[in-house]
Amino acid sequence: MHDFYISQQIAREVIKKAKMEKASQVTEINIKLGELTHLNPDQLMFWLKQLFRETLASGAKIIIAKVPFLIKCKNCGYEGKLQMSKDYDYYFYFLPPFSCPRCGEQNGVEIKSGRECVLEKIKIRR
Amino acid sequence: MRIVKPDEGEVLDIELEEDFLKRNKELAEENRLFLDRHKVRAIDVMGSIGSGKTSLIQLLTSVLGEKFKIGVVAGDLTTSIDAGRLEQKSTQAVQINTGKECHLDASLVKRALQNLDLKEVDIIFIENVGNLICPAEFPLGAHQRLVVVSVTEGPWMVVKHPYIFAQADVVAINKIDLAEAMEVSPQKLIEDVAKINPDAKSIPVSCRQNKGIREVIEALGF
Repeated sequence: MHDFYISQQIAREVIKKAKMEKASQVTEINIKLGELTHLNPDQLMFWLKQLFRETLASGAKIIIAKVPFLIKCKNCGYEGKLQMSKDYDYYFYFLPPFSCPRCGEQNGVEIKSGRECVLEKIKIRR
Repeated sequence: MRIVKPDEGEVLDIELEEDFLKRNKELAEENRLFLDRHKVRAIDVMGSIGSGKTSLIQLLTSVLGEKFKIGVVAGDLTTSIDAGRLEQKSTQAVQINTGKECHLDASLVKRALQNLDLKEVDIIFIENVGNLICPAEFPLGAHQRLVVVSVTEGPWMVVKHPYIFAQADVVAINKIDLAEAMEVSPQKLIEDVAKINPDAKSIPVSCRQNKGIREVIEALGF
């Protein structure tokens, strides 16, 4: 939904870092995007391409890797995905409180991954 | 940041590992500490366009203003209409114009806080941009979240926007004076909230008829 806003921040950071490194060209941009965010990879890609027009990064390959939504249960040590209950609509799957699929406990379930939007690395040419 | 130095013209990797959503969260935590240091309690007010956020803040402010000093931060794409509406004799108001953005973020709020005389403020209402989707992902550092939803938005507003209601401490179901004409049941909206977020307190409100305001204040714990 706010894909443009985040894309602007990413684009600004990419250009800033590329200039600091005295790059003549940015060739690749790697982004990690969590499943739990409200960001859509297709829209992110679209906006980044628009924002990079006529910049150092205009021809850069943009790679957006999906980071799965994983939990960690403090009670039984389970680490992995949630199980989707048939009683719930799809969207409830992503809503807290989350319960552990192994022991059923709700307290102590931590989100291990899925909330991130990380500019992981860029490749540049001098 | 790790940099591997290459030869002239060679491609090199620059590791950045910069999380753009986490950065907002960290800034929000800074805002919270800043507010705590100044003994100010902040309430993030969220809701659709036209749900009655500003009207509710006006009414809450006029009651709470008898006991507390109030500050208001109003967020909109443009104009200072809301800050103008909210600025009263005893109230400090700051307008944030986001320009293009669909939500307030922690850095905008940080800047707004610097424009308030916090020595003269006990409670701050932060009126978010009218939107039930984006603000859910951007904590501002407020102590509580109040969501306003009105019956004129139809019967499915709560179930269609679970994320924002999942984060609410208090939900004001506004415009109940129009519920019959709209054929929308406030009770059904309250039940929808309870299903998504059993801890949230839902209060039927009519800003126009000045109903339910004291109950909202109570639910916020004042």
